[in-house]
Formats: sequence, structure tokens, C-alpha cells
Amino acid sequence: MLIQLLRTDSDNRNALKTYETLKTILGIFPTGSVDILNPVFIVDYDENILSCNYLYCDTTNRFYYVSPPVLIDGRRIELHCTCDVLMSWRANLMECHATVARRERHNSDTGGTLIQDSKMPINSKNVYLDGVRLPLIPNSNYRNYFIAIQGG
Amino acid sequence: MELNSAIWGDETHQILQSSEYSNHVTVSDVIPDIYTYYNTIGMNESIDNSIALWQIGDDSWFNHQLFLRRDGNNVIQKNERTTVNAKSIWLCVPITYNTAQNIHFNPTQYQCNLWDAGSTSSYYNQPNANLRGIITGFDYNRLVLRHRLCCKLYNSETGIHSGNTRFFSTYEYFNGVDSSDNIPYREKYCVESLTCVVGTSKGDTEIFPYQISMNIPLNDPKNITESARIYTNTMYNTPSPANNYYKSTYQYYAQSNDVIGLQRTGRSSIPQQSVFADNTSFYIDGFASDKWVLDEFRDGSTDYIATRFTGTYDDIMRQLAFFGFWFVDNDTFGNTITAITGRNCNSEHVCLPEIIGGRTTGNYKRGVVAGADPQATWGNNWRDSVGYTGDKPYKNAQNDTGDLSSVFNRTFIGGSCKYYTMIGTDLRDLVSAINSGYQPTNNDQFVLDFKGSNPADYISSCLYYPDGFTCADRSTDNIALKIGALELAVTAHEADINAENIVSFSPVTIPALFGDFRDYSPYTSLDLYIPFCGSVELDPAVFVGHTLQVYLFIDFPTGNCAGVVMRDSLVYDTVNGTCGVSIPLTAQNVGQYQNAIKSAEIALKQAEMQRKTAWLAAAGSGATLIAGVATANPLAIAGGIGGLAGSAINVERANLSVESAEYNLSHTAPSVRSLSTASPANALQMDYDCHLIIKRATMSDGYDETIYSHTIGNACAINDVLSTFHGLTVCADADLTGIPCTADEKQQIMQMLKSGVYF
Repeated sequence: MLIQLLRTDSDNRNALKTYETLKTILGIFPTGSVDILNPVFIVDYDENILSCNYLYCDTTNRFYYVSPPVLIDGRRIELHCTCDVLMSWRANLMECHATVARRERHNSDTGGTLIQDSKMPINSKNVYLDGVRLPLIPNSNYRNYFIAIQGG
Repeated sequence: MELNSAIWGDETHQILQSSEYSNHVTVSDVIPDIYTYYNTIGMNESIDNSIALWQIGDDSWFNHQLFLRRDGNNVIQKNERTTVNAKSIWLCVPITYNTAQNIHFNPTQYQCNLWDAGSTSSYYNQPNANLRGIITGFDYNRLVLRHRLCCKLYNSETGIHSGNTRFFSTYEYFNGVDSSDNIPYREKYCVESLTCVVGTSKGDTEIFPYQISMNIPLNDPKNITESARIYTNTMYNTPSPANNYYKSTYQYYAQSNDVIGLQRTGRSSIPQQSVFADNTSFYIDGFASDKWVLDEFRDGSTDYIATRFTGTYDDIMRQLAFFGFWFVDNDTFGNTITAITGRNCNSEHVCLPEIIGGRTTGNYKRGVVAGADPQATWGNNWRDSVGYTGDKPYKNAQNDTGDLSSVFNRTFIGGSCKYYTMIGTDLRDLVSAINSGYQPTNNDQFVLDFKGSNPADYISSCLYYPDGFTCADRSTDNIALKIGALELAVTAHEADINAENIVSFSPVTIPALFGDFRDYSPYTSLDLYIPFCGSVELDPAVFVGHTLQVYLFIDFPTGNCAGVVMRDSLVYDTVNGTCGVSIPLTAQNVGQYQNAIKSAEIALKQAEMQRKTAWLAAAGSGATLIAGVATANPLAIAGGIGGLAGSAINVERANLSVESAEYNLSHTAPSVRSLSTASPANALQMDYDCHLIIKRATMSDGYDETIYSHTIGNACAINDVLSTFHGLTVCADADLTGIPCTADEKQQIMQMLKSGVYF
């Protein structure tokens, strides 16, 4: 079993986190029952991994959030992990169909923009007035009086 | 339309036009009272050299070359030479054409087999007379209808043919003129009527085509007890218009004596006046015309030759089908084929020949089946330039093209008024002319000039329109105005209220500012001000992102106007208003004068009556006179005077009444209405442009669209795979099929999707 001790500053809601690798440890093997979603890894003390907050395990093929390392006897560190479902299953997730109710718009986005957004803070007092002139296209007649004569 | 080569065959390289002339007669060349030709192509316009020339659709060149005649408002195809009871088979598409240039004909060579090169007749010694080579094989692709023009003096009044036959050839094909009679050739190709006549075989003299002697309708085969005959014949209308005399007296009969593959029958001799010298015998062969023979017959002292086919009804119909034109077997249609071929194709009497690969097969279809055939529907791309009166392609009434002339159909309901435009000085002159310039010589003159009406009543309306909203002039001629019978020295221009008096405003495209729901109601509103009409609210959903254009239609006689709001090319809304400012007419009431006249006239009559009565009374006995006078005379003095003296007084008083009336008449000054110009109404002081006020929503302070979009997300309703989304994505729901995770993980994933994740 291989684990990678990582450090990430990405939002937890980010399905594509960025991280830096602190240490890769090989030779990890279970010593008792293992909760795949919430495993606890015990590693040798290394001050470089004290800032670890993220972890990858190749055996479970999952990414994990790591709680603050716990120093235990024997110059060891316990790493309590919680599965990051987004990062772990991102590839499969991207192929799923969904009905999206809100999204972050980009300039290239088209469609789906006419849904009224009740959360948008529209000012109820102020309005913006824009005046557009449609100029008269005048004719060339300048005979202003029009008269109708019976019989004529 | 693309050429359906399966029907019409491949394109040919035949050119149906000479290098100099168009291939048909212009309308102007024809005597209007006889025939009217319909052209399809303008002068010097070449026809494309495709097989399409030969097709028979409504717009085909062939169809347009129909031998037509105007009959009232109808256009009919008619052989003018037939009698009323004539029955014949008519080919619906009598088309002429000219010799295709790639078909060789040698101008120096007489037509084979029909002309005797050794003939001494001046007519057919012309080197170019009737020059055509013979083409064997009835190939529709190279269908050549040749014709020989023969004519005979015809008296249109008596209907009698007389004189010698003249034979000419069309100028287009040939050089030379029959100088002996100096009858000019037709300048262009003739429109021919390929007429088939069915008649009984009773002898040559009876079956001359143009005399039509058939009296047995072909469509009733049981009536044909003998073999029927059909002839081809072509008829020309009058020749070149250069000679009016000949146009009115000569009728030319062109004869088609040469269908593809036609060959002359053997004749041992030709009458002296025949145009042909027969040498050898030939038979028609080829694809379709193996049964056609040349036939000679004499009309009076004139011999004619036509091609003749003899056969049963079915045989004849098949032969007609080989020509490749529409044809009928009904005499009704034969005389009144309306307009262009195929118009009556729903009739079982109208037949469409079968054409496959450019070749006729002799088969045909009838009626509605024919009309539905693709062969009947193919049309050429070009249209008539002159004279075509077939049904015009109608515009699909469902489609609004946005063209104002189609969207707004302006009509003019005529009345008894005439309309003029004037400038200010003109109007003041008019006022002056009526107020002070008009000086009747006497009261009767006034009544005569105005027919007892108030002169101002002749002026139905007088309105002022500001610059840019004025009425167009029909012409710039200065026309003297007439008020009643009185013509003034004041001039004006005749107004053209039928013109496109549409006031336009520059269009504007209304942009979307936010690109989302905020560009629409209720967050955005559009208020449009139209001069003279006021404001109209527009729906942003209709106009945002589209072009707004405003027009103002003015009803000049009334001053009313209608603002028309258009989105792109569609009329969206209208609003009414008033554009013209009525010029008030302040005036003395001329009616008073009229009344004065009337009153004076009545008084005068009364006075005269009184005078008469008085005299009459005085002529009676004294006692009676007195009594009579006293009784009858309304001017009787109370107490009476008695006797003649009283009568005299009464008479005197009657005379005074008359004088009084006369006095009243002469001292009643005629009054006229005076006109004055009013100052412009307030509306005229307002802006003449349209104004669009766009009211848009604003956002609260501190709102940042990017951050909002990144943290809250913009509302949407999009169904798609998640890979298409970038940044914050909040799902309403998702299908997590395909993720091989645990149930707990799926639940977590769903919760996160619904609360928002970043992709």
C-alpha cells in the first residue's frame, strides 16, 4: 500500500483540487480492521508531514481529508482520514447527467440565462434610464398646408 | 429548377435563337385586333441551350410561345381560321422555335424533296426559301418544327380568300424577300399553332386545315365511321408591321410540313400552282412519325400541302403524343384553351405526353394524373418579359416579408375632393382672394359663382403639417384653385395622397445590457414616444435584441395619423394620433346673404302679386273693387278709402313693396367667409423624433457580478453532463449512474452537488 501525504489549499467543494506532495510512503499495510472511507494511517514521525491535510491511497484509490496529525508514542503520527468523494470520483462524476440550477457564468456561455434569479440583489429603488432617439427621416416636401377642395 | 434529365434528356447544345433577333415576336409587331403574341424573352436575349427549352411546364418557353389570342380579359388559343362549328384537336402548346443553329441548313440549298431546284417559280427559286435539312428520327431533343409560310390574300371583312398564294419564309431563317409582291417577311420567328385537325376523309378540298371541316368530335370515337385524319398546320399571324396594308389584308398560313423524320409522300405531279415539285417519294420514318404523309389539297385555286396522318382514335392520340406537347381531344378545349398549357390539365380531355430521356414515347396521361406528373410541373427559371398574362406567381400570403409595400397596402377611397399642398404665402393669397379679391359684379354673379353655397363650404379641410410630415406632390405644376365655379389666381400643387406618404424614423436595435433576465420585464421596460401619437409601452421580450422601427402613416385630409411600431419586419403595434393642425375658418356667414336674397325674392314676388291683385281689383266695379281691394290687398289701409282712390293707394303701396324688395336686394352686401391662419398648435412645438426610454434595473451597492457568479451562481435550468460546466455548479438533481462508489459516497456526492461544487 502506498500513500501520498499531500497538502492542499483548495476549497473542499472543489472537484479538482490542487495539492503538493509532502511525502510518499510505501509499505503501508493494515494492522487491523480498516474503514475504507475513514481510514487511520500510522506513520513514522517526520516533521515535514506535520502540515499534511490531504492524502492519497493507491490501494483504495481515494483521496482523503486528513485531520490534524496526532503525535503518538513511538515517534509515530496518526493520520485520521475522511474520504473526499469529489476528488476520488471526479472522472466518473464528470460523465454524469444533471440538471443544473445555478452555475458560474462565463462570457462564452450561452443559453440558460433568462431564468429569474431571486437571489440577485436588484435595487428596488434605483433604475437606470437610457434614452434612445429615433430620428425622423424627413421628406423633401416643405409645403406645409394641405387643403381639400370639393369639386376642385 | 434543375433539369430532370430522366424526363427531358440531357442538355442539348441547340440554340434557339439567331444571333440577332429574339426568337419570337414582340407584341408591338402584331396587329392588336387580330392576334396578340406573347413573348417570353426580350430582344436579343439568348436562350440557354438546355433541353429545358423543350419542356412543357407552365413557365416553359414553349408554353409561352403559345399562339394566343386575347378575348376580352381572357387569353385563348384559337385558330382564327376555324368556323364556329369546327371541331379539331388542338395541341395545347403550339410552340414555334427556330432552327437551331447547330442543325445545319444550307442557305443555298432548297429543302430536299419539297422543292425542285429546277423550278422556275420565282417563289421557290429564292435561294433560301424554306431551307431546312431533313432530320430523320424523331428525337425530342432535336425537335425541329419547320414551317413553310404560305399566304393568301384574305379579306377579313368578307372572309374570302382570293388571289394567288404567296409563299414566304421567315426572315430569320432565310434571306431574301418575295420581291414580287413586296410583302415583307416576318422579322422574327413566328409563333405557330401546331394544329391538328381531324376530319373525315371526304376528299382533299374538304379537309383543308384552315377551313376546318371536321364535324365529328374525336373524343367520341364511335362517331368516326371512317378513318380519321389529322393534319399539321401552322398559322402565322401577320407579317412584319412595316406594311399595314398587308397586315390587314393578308393572313399567312404557315404550314408545318416537316416533323422530325417527315418525308414527303410520293406524288406524281404537282399542280401548276403548287409550291412543290415532287420528284421522289418518301415516307415519314423515324421515332414517331412513320405514319405521317404529305398531303396536298386544293382550296379554290390554291394548293396546300400539309402532313397528314390517318388512323383510328387511338392511333391519332398516340401520334399527337409523339409531338411532345400537351394536347386535347375535345373540341371545347380546342377552341377555348385558356392561357398556358396545362391550366386545364385536370380535365380528362387534356393529355400530357410521356417524355423519357428527351424522347417521346407515344404514351400519354390524362387529367389530374397529367397535372400531377413531374413533367408537368417543371419550370424554367426565367420569366416573361413581355406580354405573358398567365397566372402570376402569387406571393405566399403567409409570409410577411416586411416590405412595406406588401405589409401596408395603401388604398385611396376617392371622393369628390381634390387635394392640394400649399405654402404659407399660397394660403394667404387664397384668404385674400376670397376675402377681398373676389368682387362679384352683382348679386346674381355671386349666386352663379357659388351656386348658392357658401364658398367656404367648398373647402373641406385645411390643415397644417410640420416639416417632415408633409404630403408629397403629385407634380410640381402650379394649378389654379377653383372654388365652385370660380377660378382663382391662387395656385397650389396637386397633392399625391396615394403616394407612399409614410414618415419614417431611423431604426434602432435595442441591445441587451445584462444578457440575462434583467433585460426583460419587469426589470426592463421600454416606452416609446411617437410624435403626435403619444407613448406606447413595448414588451422587452419582443424588442430586446431586435430592431425597432417606427413609421407614421398620415391621413392628410383629416389630419389623423397612425404610428406603426415594427419589430424587424413585423408590425407589432399601432397607436393613433393627430398630426395635422386644422386651420380654423373664421368667417361671416354668407348664408345670411343667401337668406337675404331668398327673402328679397320672396318679398318681390309678394309685391308683384299684390300689385297684380290691386290692378285686378281696380278693374272691377267700384263697389266690388273697393270690397275686393279691401279684401285681397294685405296692404289695405284700415278703414278703407273706398273706390278707386283706395285701389290706387293699394297699388302704390304694392309698388312700394316691390321697390322695397329691390332695394333690399341691391343693398344686401354679399358676405364671404374669410380665412385666417392659426398659430401652430402646441404639438408642433414638440420634438419630431421618436424617443425610446429604456428603464433598466440596477444592482445593489457592493454587488459584483463575478464574485456573485462564483459564490452564489447564476440561476439557470440546464440539462447536460457535468463536464460542460466550469466553476461553481449547483445541481437540482443528478444521475450518478456510472460511479462505482459506495452508497455512502454517492449520498455525499449528491449532497455536495446540490449544495454546490466547483468543477
